[in-house]
Amino acid sequence: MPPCRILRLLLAASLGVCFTLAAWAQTPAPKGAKGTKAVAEGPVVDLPPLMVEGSATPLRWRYVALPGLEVLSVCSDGTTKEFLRRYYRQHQLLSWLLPERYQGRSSVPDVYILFNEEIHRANSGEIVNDMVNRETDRKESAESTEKERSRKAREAPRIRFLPNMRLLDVDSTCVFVIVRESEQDTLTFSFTIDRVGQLLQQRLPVLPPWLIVGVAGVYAQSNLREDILRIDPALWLNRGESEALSRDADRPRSIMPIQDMLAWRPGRKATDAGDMDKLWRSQCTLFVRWAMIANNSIRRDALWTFVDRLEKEPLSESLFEQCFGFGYSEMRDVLSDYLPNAIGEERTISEADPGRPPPIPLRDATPAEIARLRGDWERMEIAFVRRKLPDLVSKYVDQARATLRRAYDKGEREPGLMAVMGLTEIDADNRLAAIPFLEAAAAAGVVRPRVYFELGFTRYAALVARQTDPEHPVFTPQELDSVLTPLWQAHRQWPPLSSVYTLMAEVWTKAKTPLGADELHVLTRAVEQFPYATQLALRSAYLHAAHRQFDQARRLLELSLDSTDDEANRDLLTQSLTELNRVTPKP
Amino acid sequence: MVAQGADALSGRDPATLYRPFLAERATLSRDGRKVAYSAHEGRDLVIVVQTLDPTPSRVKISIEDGPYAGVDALEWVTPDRLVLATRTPVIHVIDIGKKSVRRVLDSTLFEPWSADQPVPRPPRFLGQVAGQTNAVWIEGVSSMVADEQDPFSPLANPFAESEPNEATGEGTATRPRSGLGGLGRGDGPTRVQVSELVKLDLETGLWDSYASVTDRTDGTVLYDRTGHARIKRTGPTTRQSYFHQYPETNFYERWEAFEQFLPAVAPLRFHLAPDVALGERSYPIGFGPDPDLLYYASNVGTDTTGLFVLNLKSQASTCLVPAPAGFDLIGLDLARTPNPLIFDRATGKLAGVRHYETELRTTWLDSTLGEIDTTIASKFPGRQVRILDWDDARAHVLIRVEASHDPGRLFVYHRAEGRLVEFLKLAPWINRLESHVTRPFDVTSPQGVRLTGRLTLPRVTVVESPPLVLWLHDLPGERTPPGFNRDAQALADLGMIILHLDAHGTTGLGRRHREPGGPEALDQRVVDQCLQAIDWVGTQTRFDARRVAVIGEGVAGYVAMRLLALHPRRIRGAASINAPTHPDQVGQVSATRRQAEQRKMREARARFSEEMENWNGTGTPPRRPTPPHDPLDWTRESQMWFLAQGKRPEPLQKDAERLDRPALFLHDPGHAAVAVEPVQSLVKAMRKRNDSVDLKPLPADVHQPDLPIRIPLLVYLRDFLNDTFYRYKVDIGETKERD
Repeated sequence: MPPCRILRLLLAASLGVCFTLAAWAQTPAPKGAKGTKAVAEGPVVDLPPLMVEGSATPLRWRYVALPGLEVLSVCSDGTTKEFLRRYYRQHQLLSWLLPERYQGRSSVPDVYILFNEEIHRANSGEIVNDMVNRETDRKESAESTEKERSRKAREAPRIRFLPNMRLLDVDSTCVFVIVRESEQDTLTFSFTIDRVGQLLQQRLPVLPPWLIVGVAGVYAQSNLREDILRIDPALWLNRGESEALSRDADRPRSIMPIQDMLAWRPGRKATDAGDMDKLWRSQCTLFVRWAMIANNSIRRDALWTFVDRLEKEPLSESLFEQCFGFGYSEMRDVLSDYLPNAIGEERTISEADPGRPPPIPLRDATPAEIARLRGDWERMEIAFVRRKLPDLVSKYVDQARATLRRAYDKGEREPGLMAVMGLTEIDADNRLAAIPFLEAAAAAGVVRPRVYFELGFTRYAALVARQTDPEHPVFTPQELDSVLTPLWQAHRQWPPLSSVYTLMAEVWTKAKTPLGADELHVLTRAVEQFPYATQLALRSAYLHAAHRQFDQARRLLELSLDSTDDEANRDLLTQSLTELNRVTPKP
Repeated sequence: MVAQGADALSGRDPATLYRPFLAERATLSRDGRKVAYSAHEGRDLVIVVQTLDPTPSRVKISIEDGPYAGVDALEWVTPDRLVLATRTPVIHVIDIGKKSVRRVLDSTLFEPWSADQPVPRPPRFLGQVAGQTNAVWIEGVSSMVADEQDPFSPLANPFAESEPNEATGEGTATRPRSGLGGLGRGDGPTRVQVSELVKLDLETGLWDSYASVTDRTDGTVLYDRTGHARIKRTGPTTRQSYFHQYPETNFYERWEAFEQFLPAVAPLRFHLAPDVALGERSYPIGFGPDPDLLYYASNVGTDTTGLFVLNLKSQASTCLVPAPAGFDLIGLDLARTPNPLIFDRATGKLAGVRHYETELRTTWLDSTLGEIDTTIASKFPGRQVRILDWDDARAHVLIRVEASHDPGRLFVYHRAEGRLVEFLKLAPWINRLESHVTRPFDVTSPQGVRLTGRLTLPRVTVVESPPLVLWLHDLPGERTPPGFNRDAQALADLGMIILHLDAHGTTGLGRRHREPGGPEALDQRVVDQCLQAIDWVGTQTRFDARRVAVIGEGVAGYVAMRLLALHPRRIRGAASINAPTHPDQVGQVSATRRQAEQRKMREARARFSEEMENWNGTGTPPRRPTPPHDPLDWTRESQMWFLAQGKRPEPLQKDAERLDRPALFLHDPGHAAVAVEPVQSLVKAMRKRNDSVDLKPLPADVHQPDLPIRIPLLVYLRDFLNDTFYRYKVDIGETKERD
């Protein structure tokens, strides 16, 4: 199961936004027919915030690039620097709980856009009102009866803009922050559980589910507001149960066997839902908490040693005991005894040092930077809006294109800008228009794995479309090279994308290309990194079998089978495994 | 790990180690919603009822009973009512809803057998009456002096059991002869044993007699589930036989010897005599719901004892559970021991049997419970898991999980969810992280001798190579028990390796391991085994070969001193606990004890005379004092026979001059089977040449392993071993090892 699904399934929905919240921007009620004021009764839809600037008062954008980070800001320099210092200190504190090498990373820097709350409130309401009304009018014009027009007016959605938001692409992250500069303590933020979850989920090699949930759970019990890391008393299952345990340390409790906790695959079985799932989550948090902070954190290093070794060795009790000094049964008892202590335990981690923030060389942003960063944000909004309110997608597409074009039309051809323009056309389902932009970006060596994948995929799709028999294509070496070259470029960047390897495997399968050890190894590593990508596993297993590496093929199928909970995919994998075992002898 | 500092190993407080564990008995209600277990608060017994679902809650109910009262049985009779049987003995009924306790039966409440012969009859709880709530079976067994002149006395019963043939042990159908003969050992008035089975109404406290068996010899009676006395074992000390009667038997008993009643089973050797008590024989264990099916144990034709079922009508015998190689599935049944058979409360059927191989195990005849056991055991690798109880629907299972260094915890397993709910630690005052791991061993020495027992390695030592203590239990005798061993833990606290050896004569390990025989005498045989075991420990872990001590209980204490005398270079010191100076002394009543008994009789007769003089002829006449009854003890009988076999061992008195190493003799002056006078004499002789010999008195009943009464024993041993290992002059090396 993809890590992202793990966290979505398991973390509470109301994870909270820790940035200072701006007021919700509400849309005015749409006007009813014949000038009557209709009462809006439609559903509330949350949309990403819009950056709109009046033509009379263009915004002054400031820019800074830090390791792993690009920031575009319309706030004052003081606010922007304070924000970044705070960000840095929070990042340092977090790294005590989750060392950097266990955090997801990308070759593409994270982007933060800091927007001023007053500007946002003044401008966005009008534009959205305009957007909604135009949409309503368009539909109204097709209607003939007053009754239907009234009904449509009543059912029109009420749009609410989210004040702070993080949007993700497969290789990049963009965060929009609305800052209320007029208020004191406006920047006393902490990272949300969502952000920590993203760092855990995106890490490659994939972290075990128990660790993802456990670290996220401990973070949820932490308080980093005052630039110190304080672990608050633990929460066990729910508040009522925790309070009961605090009153009676001998209260009955369920602690799963450790081997079950470590091997748990959330969402796998029907019985996983409900209480056992909740128990598992609480126990993962308890275990990670124990490892990190109990007994003056003497087992914190052991925890990470265990995680490191799991990347190379299969899980076993022997491995566990070597790392922690306890076997499974003993560990279960240790956790059970620790539970009442954890509920009453508060600890300030003096070893967690917020550090000294680096210099922050803010400067005016160039038009290319403004267009690229804003345009990328607006591009990412497209997918979000498509899910929430498809009727408005075209508005967001137009907005993104307009932003990007402002720089492009002035002659800007910066590789990053080309990349974003190409991806915008891809996300707008206009793949053909994307090609020149993607090719320009790739030729310039842009660091953006998805660009290369999309280029390779587009070329492959075009090749297949030209085949007389798509099921049995015939490719020239040059054609194959045109597809594989960008894929290999993506392979050399970070993060690795499962789609890259799936496409590689697809191409090699269809072209019946003889593969060397290096290529097969790449596929093996890919399946190990993305075991839940069933199509990747199936194709990789096929290719290994075609090259008479039957044991490896079997292993890849079993690895994927163990990682997926989708019944259809499990059936496919099982059938393939059965067929493989039938035609080849098992060792 | 070596301790830092001279005071690093003072050991845990013995009062902590020897405190009784919680949940000596635990039971799950039949609806699976509550668990009841026994506990002690100080010296007082309490019953705790833990409700698990939906909201956990706990109720504690105090029981008025003797100090440190042991619990024989704790069972649910209704969802809100428990029956509790203590070893005092008392039967209590506990109402959970009202949180009330009612004492319904104890020794004072049984009716006297006759108006002028009131005798105490300690009630023994046998179980609930099948198909009836609020009714239980109780057995009362007592001995009384038979009045031969009384036509209504048991001796006058013309239809009493057939008299066993003393030569062959076979019964006959002849009428018993009247007159003398009976219980007791030696001269004295004739006694009879009365065994009565009653059905007790827990609601009213009233009871009805269902079966009554009288006998002129000590024996045991087995009843079927319908309340009929079906099997009895009786006869003189030289040989006891098993008798059977059909359940249709009315007021008059109709006993027939097994060999006559079931000729086909004659080869199964259903009898008991000193020479076969440890040898080849069969013995009944109990009945299931079908009164025609008798479960019995047998090792006839094999080395080890398995479980069988005998159809009393068809005489067909079937093996239910064969014994594992090298281990008896069922104990010897020489004394009243807990029934190893497990029955399902809902169906009454036999579900499994508990036994002890290298660890406690359960062999399940019920496949569902077997699967549950396997599933749960897989969740606790390296632990011993025991299913204690289950609800009628088998949706919830009560389990105990323990280890050698951890007395354990209780859980309820919810089958549907696969969820384990822990609700009790049996000894929360013991920190298992301070405890030491004990491992069983069962190996063959290079000399081809079976070496088996348990080895405890200390978690922390004082010196790099720790000392070794070899501990021998009484011989012949039961095996070293599994699980958390307090003695081993207490001594391992001092940084010592403890080797519990189940030497030849130990029961539970097959006939070959306990039958006497061989060219050498017992002492030499066991001494050789000890040396081989010490050598084997050296292949497993490092220890200081200059610091080896031996502790022996009973006859093994004699062997410990022989080992010290014969191998002074290998053994640094020895301690004995209630040990004879020669095996022939076992069974001899000490002069001290005899004098005390005689003094009591004199005083009792003097009181009787005075009371008779003062009696005015009305009311209950004074009771004539009778000599104390010495009940038949098959454990002792078999032990005495065992020790009398083979080449005669040497007495310790001959070693008095050779025993110049530290020696500690611990002895109960009033011990019933081993007199203290020979030990006193030996110590006196040893002191002429040895200033490191000591004799300390022990309280009675110190052999009970789980009571605080054992603490003085531990203190003596601890001091002795510390002095022996760490301050004794050695031929080489430093004088003192510790700063």
